Amino acid sequence: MTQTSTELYYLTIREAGRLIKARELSPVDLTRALLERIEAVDGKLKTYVTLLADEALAQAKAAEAEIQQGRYRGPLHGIPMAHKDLYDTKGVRTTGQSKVNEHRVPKEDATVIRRLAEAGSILLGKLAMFEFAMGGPETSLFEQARNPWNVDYVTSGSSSGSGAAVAAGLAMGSLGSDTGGSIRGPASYCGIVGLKPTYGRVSRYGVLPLSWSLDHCGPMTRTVEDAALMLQAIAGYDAKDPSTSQTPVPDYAAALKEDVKGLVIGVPKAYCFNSEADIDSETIAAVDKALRDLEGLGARVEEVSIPSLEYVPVANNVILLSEAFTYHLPNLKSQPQNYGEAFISRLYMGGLLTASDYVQAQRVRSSIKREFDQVLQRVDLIGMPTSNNPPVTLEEFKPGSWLHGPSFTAPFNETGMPAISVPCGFTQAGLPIGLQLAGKPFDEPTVLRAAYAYQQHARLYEKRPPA
Amino acid sequence: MEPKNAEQIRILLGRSGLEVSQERLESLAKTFEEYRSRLELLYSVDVENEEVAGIFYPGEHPGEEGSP
Repeated sequence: MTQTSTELYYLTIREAGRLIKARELSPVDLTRALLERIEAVDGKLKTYVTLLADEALAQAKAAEAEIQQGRYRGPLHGIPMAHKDLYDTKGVRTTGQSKVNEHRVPKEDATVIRRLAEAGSILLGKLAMFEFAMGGPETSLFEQARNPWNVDYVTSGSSSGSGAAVAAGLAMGSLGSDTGGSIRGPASYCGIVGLKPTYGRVSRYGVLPLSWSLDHCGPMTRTVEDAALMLQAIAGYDAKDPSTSQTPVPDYAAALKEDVKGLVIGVPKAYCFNSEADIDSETIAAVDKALRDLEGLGARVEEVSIPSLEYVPVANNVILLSEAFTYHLPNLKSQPQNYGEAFISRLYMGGLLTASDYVQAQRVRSSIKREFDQVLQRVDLIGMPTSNNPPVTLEEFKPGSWLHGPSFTAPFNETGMPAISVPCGFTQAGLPIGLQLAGKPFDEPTVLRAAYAYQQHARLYEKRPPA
Repeated sequence: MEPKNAEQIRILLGRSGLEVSQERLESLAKTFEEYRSRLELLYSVDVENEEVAGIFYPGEHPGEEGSP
């Protein structure tokens, strides 16, 4: 072993995987380093709702034995991870961070949890989230994760613990889920990479739903190459999830080139660089610079017009709330007292929407998708900020903020397009800002390629939060 | 689109079998009023001949290449 344990928890998955493969790093030592890190800082960050220390060490020992016997499984073998507490884990409580599910213990793993286990990864535990993936930091069960760049600030949601844990070196990678931006938002606010794959690329089987037609599962990691490695393990058709596609899964790591020459990036500037529309000026400056950097690397950046972006927030909310209300109705009747106020006050709105509202929202969604399809005939990627504003303090967070303002992430839940958030700068207060790049359906390779080229240029993943 | 008062909200939630407090009904009426202009925006979109974007698989083999 060449690293000290204080360095190990900040290795990337790719770095650690190479050392494990070469037998220069023990999965047991790596897992111990992560567990020590969790013990040292998670009292402040509150990212873990369930820690599986003994089980993780047992898995690490088994991984080490397998590798020593020459049965190396691949780049995730022996890599400690933790996942949002809405992924079913056999025999391990899975709550959606809600008192409604306080004693819920699944009998089966979610498909993606099983696939990561088959790839040899180690499960450190389950991570904090916004209740049932909606609402806000206030939940009915457990404490809420804090932003490692400043613990007084929100992580964004709903994959809050995933964002904070990966950023602070408490997990090397994490599965988040994304219905309107819940992977990309926390990735942006916590200074990490978050990838929402194409709808149908990754199975949702065994994942507590929020909105069946908008939910996506995907990786949250410190680097783009780590996101590619996790996606490789979880992508692909699943007979248990009829929305998954049999479109062949490409080699994502092979797409990671620092060359973006010839790529055309369309930027809907009128919508996302409008400083009069509640869009933060530091965010605009950072994302504009990132896009110019990509131009410097050989991409062509051009302005595009996507008028339907204006309708995305309401269409997304109507679909999400209608589907979520329907899913939760039995528990709303039997145990409303077990929901947190931030979640339930928004959920009830779903019961006030009509069939006509839902159908109109789905028709508008078709219209939005058609407009994006037309733009994607001229450009390879859409570039825009991940969030319109940087993180606010927990005190400043307004649970009713979903009623107002734009959403830069929801367009890609509506259209199902793959979208990634990659760190592109910091505010004067030292809080991270994210650049979002979205591509054509099932064209994750181009999304990853552009994000990787930018990451290697900016190298912001080398910065560490102070917590 | 008309505003909804607490009584109308009680009836709407009642259709789903829900009974909520008067305080909750009044709070929802206020939130719905804030949301109403957004819903009106939804109906202002010219969707021409667009169909719903929902997902339905009539065959036995969902997930075939190209779907969804």
